Amino acid sequence: MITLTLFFEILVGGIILGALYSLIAVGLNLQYGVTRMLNVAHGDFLMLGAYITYFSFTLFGINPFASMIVVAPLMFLIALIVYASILQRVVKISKSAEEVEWRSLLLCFGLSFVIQNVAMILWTANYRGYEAPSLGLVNIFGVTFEVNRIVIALISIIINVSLYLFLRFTKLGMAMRATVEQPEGAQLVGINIFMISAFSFSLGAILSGWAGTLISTFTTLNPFMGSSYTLIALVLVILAGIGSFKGNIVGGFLIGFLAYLTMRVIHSVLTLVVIYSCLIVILLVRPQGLFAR
Amino acid sequence: MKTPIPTLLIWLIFLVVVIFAPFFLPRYYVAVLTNVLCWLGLALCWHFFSGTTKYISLGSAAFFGVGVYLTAIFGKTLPYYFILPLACVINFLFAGGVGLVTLRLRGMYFAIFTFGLAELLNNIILFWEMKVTGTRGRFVTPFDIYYPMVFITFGIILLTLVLRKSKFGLALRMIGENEEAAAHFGLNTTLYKILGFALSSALIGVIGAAFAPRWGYIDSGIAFNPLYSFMPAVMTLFGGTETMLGPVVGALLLSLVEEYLLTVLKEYFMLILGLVMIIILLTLPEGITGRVVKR
Repeated sequence: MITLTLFFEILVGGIILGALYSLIAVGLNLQYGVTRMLNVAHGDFLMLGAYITYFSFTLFGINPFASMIVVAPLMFLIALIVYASILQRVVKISKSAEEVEWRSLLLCFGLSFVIQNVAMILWTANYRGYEAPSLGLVNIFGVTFEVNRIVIALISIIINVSLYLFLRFTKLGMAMRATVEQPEGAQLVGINIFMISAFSFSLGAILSGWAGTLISTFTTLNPFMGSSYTLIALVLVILAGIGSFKGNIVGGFLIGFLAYLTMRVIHSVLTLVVIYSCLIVILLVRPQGLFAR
Repeated sequence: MKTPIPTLLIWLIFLVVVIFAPFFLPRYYVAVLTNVLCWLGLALCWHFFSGTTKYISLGSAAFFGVGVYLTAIFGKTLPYYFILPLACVINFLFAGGVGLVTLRLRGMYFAIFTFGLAELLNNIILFWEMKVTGTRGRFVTPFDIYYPMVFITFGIILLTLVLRKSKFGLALRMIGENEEAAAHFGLNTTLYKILGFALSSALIGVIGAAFAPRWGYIDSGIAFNPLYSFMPAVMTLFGGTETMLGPVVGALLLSLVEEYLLTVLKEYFMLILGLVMIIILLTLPEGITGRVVKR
């Protein structure tokens, strides 16, 4: 029966982790899909979200989950400033679409270094953590899980579904999807590409900030924690296919299962190796992503 | 456009200066010069592939680290001058494999894949050392690597000078200018990209293998330091990607700045590097040599 218990543990653990992974990647997928700029500072925005939650909890006693209300406007503002003052200029100085891509990619690396090191100067490189208010434990198929983790998974799924509905049924969402599909066509029908890009970038930053909030409830924080999440998000975006939200959720669960399985059965150091092997397979077999048209 | 004779002459003078430098320079400056030569070699390798084709490699540290580890593992059993070509061959094959997977696709996939490569190898080696050999790092017999570095860097300079004018170098430049046109022209672009990347990475691996004895002790964090991925790129972009002068000027200036900052403002080094990257990318689209050297 030990193997059956382990099986259920990996099943539930994988779902919980997968839901979170899909939230981590969805912001990046949105940003890249609309702006065609690969924000490799994505994980650092996540780190900022985590720190905002940490400080609002330790300084003001705001419940970590409730702090998402604080995180959203702050992340939106930071990302908007970054986009308008730095990233948007790339479009002007670049001669071709390819140049926008590689120039913004390297720019985001510079940005990543700046965010990480400003955070280190402000908050030191020490690991910080807080005791998130626990909602107790729950027994699923004979395996004990923290209720907090399940709440995290549920919040991730709710955010993903809301985003999907927003993109599918609102005018703004449709304008964003139009920009993903046909940037030039979107411009022709009167969509202001700059506004849509700035909004999408900032919305993506909110999503990564929220992912940071959720992650901060169960792990310790550090100014350099973002890089590993950036990697997971990058792999997931390729796996899902750019602009594919279905792929993002399915891919999130897939990677979540594999990551949890690796952590549980082999060793957590090899998680990245397994995730990377997935990337190699997908690049060889279906580089456009699982759900791309 | 400049004629090749003065270029060669300038290189020759530089070579002579570098060869005799240890006879009149204090030890500290020779050590600095070793670093400068290392960065110069790395920047030239990066420029050879990524600078010309615009397929941005963010994985130089992976190949550098493989070289470092080869010296660390075989340093006691094999002679140094045997390890260097070994590092060349192994990294050529390794990078060729990476290229086969990623270079058929758009540049963004290549950048993403190489971005995680150093971190991936870092984790694999960490796991290997922890579980299999039960160690944390390795000791390398330290010795002065100044002349090997001179030999390798000037070898790379000569090789890139020659290759840039060859059919191979022109093919890479054409891919950078307009890949579609190059393909229509009948060029097997994927093959040239893979070969270019493999060669550039093989040489980066040689530099890593040659550089390892500088440290008496290495671990995966030192060998796969992401700085080795970013600095060559930043140096090349700072100098300019159009001619070979770009990476040379960029590497000479920025490696000295790096040396200074690391001794004076160590805590702020990465912050400054990030800011420099942002400023270069936004204000110097052609690099500092771009204005001077017009094709």
